[in-house]
Amino acid sequence: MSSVRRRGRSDRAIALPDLVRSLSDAVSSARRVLDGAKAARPGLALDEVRFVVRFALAEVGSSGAATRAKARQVHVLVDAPSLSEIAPHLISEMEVRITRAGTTVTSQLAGLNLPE
Amino acid sequence: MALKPLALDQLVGAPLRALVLGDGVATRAAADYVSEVGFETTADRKTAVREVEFEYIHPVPDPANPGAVIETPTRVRVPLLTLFPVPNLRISEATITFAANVVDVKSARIKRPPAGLAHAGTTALAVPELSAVYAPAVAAAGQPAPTMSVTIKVVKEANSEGMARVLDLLSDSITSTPSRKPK
Repeated sequence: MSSVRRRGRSDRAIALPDLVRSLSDAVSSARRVLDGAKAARPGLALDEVRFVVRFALAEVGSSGAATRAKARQVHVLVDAPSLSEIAPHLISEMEVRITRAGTTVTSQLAGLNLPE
Repeated sequence: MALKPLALDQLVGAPLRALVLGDGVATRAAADYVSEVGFETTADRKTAVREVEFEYIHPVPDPANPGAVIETPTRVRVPLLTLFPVPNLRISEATITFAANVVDVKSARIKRPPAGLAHAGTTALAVPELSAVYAPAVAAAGQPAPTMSVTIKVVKEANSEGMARVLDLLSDSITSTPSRKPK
């Protein structure tokens, strides 16, 4: 029997803070490419990286969450296979701008009704 | 051919790497031009400025005969480098825009010392990792829009204060002395 397990949608859900962090980590890592080149001469600097990410709400919180903060976390789906199975009106868009000064996140939510 | 999924940092880093390489090629081309066009190695293996030398007749007013000129043969030597613009191309600003489809979300566990406590051993952290493939910015009819679009703005960085002062010192050290005593 194959040991490969098909991953369900819930396995692909990612907490919103983790999503922003992974974008930020990717930019930090990519910035090292430019920093490495600066050792030889003044070079190029990242001024701004702007991500527009389409996402759909997967779940809010988790009954098994260890902390109260985690229990309130919004988990979203951002991968193409999952989004292709979701009605377009439930898909939202988030913009993350990572600049030299800091990071800003704005989002336009579609069909997102958070439970009270 | 199907594109291979890449980690998000590789997806963002690849065009930056191309910019750095392109900028380096342009800088080397300028340095090669200055070296090849501006200087030459003499027979006694010394580096000398490559010059154009010519003679022309320079009309000099004749003090003894107002209104008349004396045709004076004059020899001119011009460094070749001053006659042509140096092709010094640099990237001053670049904006890269591309779309991508996130194909997988994984939670990779990495070992990393806690922030500010490098001596305190390591702790395992769950780091979310997005894998994505480059996608057309505009989806074909009937196809879903790409899940992510990325715009990267890169600018040329000014010299640091320290480097600017070092360059000033080096500029001040340029000297010119007579190569032989005037006859």
